[in-house]
Amino acid sequence: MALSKLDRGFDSDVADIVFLIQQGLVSLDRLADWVTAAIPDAAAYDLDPDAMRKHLAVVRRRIAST
Amino acid sequence: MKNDLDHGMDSQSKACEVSLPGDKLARELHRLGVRHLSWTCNASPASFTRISFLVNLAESPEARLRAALVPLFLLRPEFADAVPHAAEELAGRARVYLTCAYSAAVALQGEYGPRLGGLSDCEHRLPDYFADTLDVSEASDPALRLVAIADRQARLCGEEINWYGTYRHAVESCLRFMDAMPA
Repeated sequence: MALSKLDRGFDSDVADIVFLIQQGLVSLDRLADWVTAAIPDAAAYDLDPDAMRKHLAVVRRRIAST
Repeated sequence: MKNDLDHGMDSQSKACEVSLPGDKLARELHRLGVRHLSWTCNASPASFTRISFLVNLAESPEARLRAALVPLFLLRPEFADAVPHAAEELAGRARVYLTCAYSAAVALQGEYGPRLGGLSDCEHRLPDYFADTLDVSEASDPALRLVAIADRQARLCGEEINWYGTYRHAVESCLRFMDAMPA
């Protein structure tokens, strides 16, 4: 779910991921690992690696600013 | 105004009114027809002004409430008169949210206005207040205009997220609820 939200990257998706991290339901490092692991097969799952990286960077910044 | 947008990102909003809680904003949105965010609505018109309502939505920490500005303008074009005043009350990121959400509604009014019912005639076309401010006036095609607004918001906010999808998703979510749960 987090990966699909990260791929889609609406403002609310990024907010949801930040919430999951702040609630301790997933860690930022774990999420980054999932992105790295998903990239080789991204096309097969209709995921956009560039979008996921960009949106992950926004998640990092929002977490850092809270 | 363009300089205000470009250089005001780190500043706090100038608005000093008391913040309204998210559930109260969602209930008022419901009363106004944007019903996908709350199952209940305010029984009577809220005591706050349109300007205050728009300011609070733009400043909301909740992404769903900020995004609801787009369908609100399509459903309730009478709020357009309050937009320049609300923008004056805001600074930084909240001002960018308001100006971009409103401009997105302007770009989407031809596509969604009639379906949402608020913009069914030329009399209620949303004025294009911020095209020059956002530097999107060259994009005359609505779809290209929306792309340009999304790109502008990404740069002004410093957040490369899917603003284009954010605008459309907010309107589609509102429409889906209206179709599934007619008033």
